Amino acid sequence: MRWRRGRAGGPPPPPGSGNLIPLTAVPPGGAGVVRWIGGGRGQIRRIMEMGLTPGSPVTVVANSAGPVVVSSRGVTLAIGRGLASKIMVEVTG
Amino acid sequence: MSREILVALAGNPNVGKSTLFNALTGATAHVANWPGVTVELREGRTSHHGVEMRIVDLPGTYSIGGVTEEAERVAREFLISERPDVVVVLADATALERTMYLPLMVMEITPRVVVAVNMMDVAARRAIHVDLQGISAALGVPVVGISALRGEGIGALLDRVLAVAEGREGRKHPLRIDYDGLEPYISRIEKLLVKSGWKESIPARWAALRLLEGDPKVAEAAGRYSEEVKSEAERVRSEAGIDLRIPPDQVAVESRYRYIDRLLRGRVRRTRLLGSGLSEALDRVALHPLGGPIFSLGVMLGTFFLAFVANMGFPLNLILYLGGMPDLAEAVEELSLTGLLGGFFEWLGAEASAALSNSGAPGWLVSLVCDGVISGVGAVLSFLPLVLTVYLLLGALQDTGILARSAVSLHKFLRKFGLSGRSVFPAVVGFGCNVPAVMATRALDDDRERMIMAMTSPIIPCQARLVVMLALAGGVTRDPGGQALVMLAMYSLSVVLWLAVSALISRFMFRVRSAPELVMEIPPYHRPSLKVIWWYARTNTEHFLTKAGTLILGFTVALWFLLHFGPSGFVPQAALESDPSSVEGTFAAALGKALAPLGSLVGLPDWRMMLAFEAGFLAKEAVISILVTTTGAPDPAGALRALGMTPLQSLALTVAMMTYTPCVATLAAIKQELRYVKYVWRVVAYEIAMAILLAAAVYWGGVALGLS
Ligand SMILES: Nc1nc2c(ncn2[C@@H]2O[C@H](COP(=O)(O)OP(=O)(O)OP(=O)(O)O)[C@@H](O)[C@H]2O)c(=O)[nH]1
Repeated sequence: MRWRRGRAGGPPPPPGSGNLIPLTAVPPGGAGVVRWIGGGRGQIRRIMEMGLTPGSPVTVVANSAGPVVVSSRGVTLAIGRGLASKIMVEVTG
Repeated sequence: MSREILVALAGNPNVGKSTLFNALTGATAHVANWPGVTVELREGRTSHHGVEMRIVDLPGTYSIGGVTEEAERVAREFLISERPDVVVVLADATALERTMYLPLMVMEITPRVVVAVNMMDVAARRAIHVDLQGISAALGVPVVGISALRGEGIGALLDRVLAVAEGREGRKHPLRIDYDGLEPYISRIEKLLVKSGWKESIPARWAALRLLEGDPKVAEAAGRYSEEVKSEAERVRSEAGIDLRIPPDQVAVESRYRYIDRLLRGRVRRTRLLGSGLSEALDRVALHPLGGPIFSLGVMLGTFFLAFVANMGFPLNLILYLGGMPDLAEAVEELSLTGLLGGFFEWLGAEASAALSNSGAPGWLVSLVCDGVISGVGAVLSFLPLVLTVYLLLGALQDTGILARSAVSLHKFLRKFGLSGRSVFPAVVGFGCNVPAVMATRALDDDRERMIMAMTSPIIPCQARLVVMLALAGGVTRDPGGQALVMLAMYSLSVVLWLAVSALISRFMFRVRSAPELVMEIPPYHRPSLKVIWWYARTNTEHFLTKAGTLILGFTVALWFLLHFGPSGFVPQAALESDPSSVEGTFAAALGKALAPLGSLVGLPDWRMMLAFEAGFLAKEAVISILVTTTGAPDPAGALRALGMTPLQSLALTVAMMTYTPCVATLAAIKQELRYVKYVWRVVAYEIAMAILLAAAVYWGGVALGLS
């Protein structure tokens, strides 16, 4: 299985594939690229409609107790922690 | 009952028409043949509120005037020959100056148009604000903001489509654009057409314009009436071209763009975004795990403090009393909007009463006008500024982007109660008036959360209830400090109840374990724009006026009837005022007495209390006038004394007034949003049960503690 661009839905990537960590684990200021989006079909669609698709670069703005706030393609999004934990990113900086 | 309406989608290339079509029709889309236009078009179906809709995707075009462009011909001829029930024309919120051109052209052919302004999400991000309501008022057709990509606003769009299809909204006649220099030529040809007995499905004026622009199809149609008209039209056309030195079709294009300029002037506003340094600094506070919620709550408390002080002096008046400045406190009360308006309507009622009596009108008519209609209009109008000020301030929070941060920072807390951070919007709106609050639940993504909020947001005390509770607090204690404490307790209690009932409904009615998740865009901080805030406030206030205002007026008159008529006929106001016991002979009293046993449960045995509850069901603020009229006391506190109410009973009454069923206008809004009457009954039932329980707990608890 290749994780070049990433994908939405299906099983999560096996541990150790690339340098993937859940979005909830990226510290504020950290940056990465979305490689996998999990969750229910409706939730996946919703996130993708908001512009966060596999392959999207993201920068984490805030990540503490509440929703994770990320910025991607000029848009700032707040994502509940439950959903954010099902988004795997490849950390780039 | 199978009703089906035909809806055509029109729009420029790239405005998101395919996205909208797919969102509407999903898997039902297929290609169908339309003999009238001899091409195949994509179509699909959807249903909304039980009405089947057949949706046809017209080719994406910039205009429908082209003679040689196939796509434009198809779109135009579809509109003419298939006569769709409604045409949805898309425009792009970020480029209205260009994309409103097509909607105008369509509106010249048919009045049954809904304009869908797409890309509202992009517009918000770029701080472009569009006064949809203003544009709608100017065009006379519904204008709905949507984001086809995100599926936002589609329900509202379909609502408007239905309203236009059923003739409840929209224009009666096609749009008339002023074609300046072309006008004399248009009217000459139009007259010729009418004289020749023009009976086509297209308006004669539009046909005349098309003839001037050189549409061969229309010329052919005109030729069928008389060859003479056709050749005469051709002559006028070349004459116009020579006189104006510009081909008529180009004059027409310019006129349309001039119309658009005028239409959009002052209705599209581009505000500046806040500098990134300041934005980041603000976000460090607003999105801080601990600072964020504190900041949000602080901003909201500040907002309502300002709004309430402007409206009724509260709580500044109490603070001033406590600070030992009673004169200043009174001045604040009198200069508040409620004080000023109340005085005005009292004066108006007296004047009208004198004038009518002098002209020899029968007593009941004078009473109907003065005590029914004028006081009803007064009730509605006195709430107008209250509602407006709250929305002006909320508009500022919304426009700057602060409210969106509040939703994020309060999300974690609200999740515990089965809600998401987005519920913050309807909740804060509810402190102004519950009707727009219930309507604001529409914007929630999660279906269950939407239903929960529609059912629980009415617990939040609106300003009408604030007025009532303030008056009743005067019966609990005369000490301003004590009154402030009572109010604070009431507001805290209502927020706790709202959260608790939301949690209960989500757990037991919907049996959800996991709270709704949050995915929302946080718009950049904008500099507030007065104009945009005004648009927001006006829209919400109009909702209040049209939904609640008419109901309040109607029910005030109904209440007047109950209070002034009994089995033995008319009971004049003067009798009620000079002898409060004469109210006993009215229908209202009979009703109150029937309900009195219920009041005894919670320590409120007097039937006049029940009467006040009935009135409050119609409109909360009527409670006070009922107490005052039926007791003959000069003010609410006096009324409570006249009823022999102890402070403890007054407190039980305040609690009951705060929590029992929402007013009819709110119930109507709930019915509209949730569509089934059963939810309305559930709301009424749980709130009344809650009121009885709480008031009984307060009263009997107090009695047990030896209070009175
Ligand atoms: N951000 C945002 N993008 C949108 C919206 N609606 C459509 N788009 C995007 O705009 C682009 C054009 O959308 P289409 O639906 O293909 O536009 P169309 O009007 O059908 O265009 P044609 O296919 O050329 O007729 C696509 O990339 C959509 O994803 C919207 O509401 N918001």
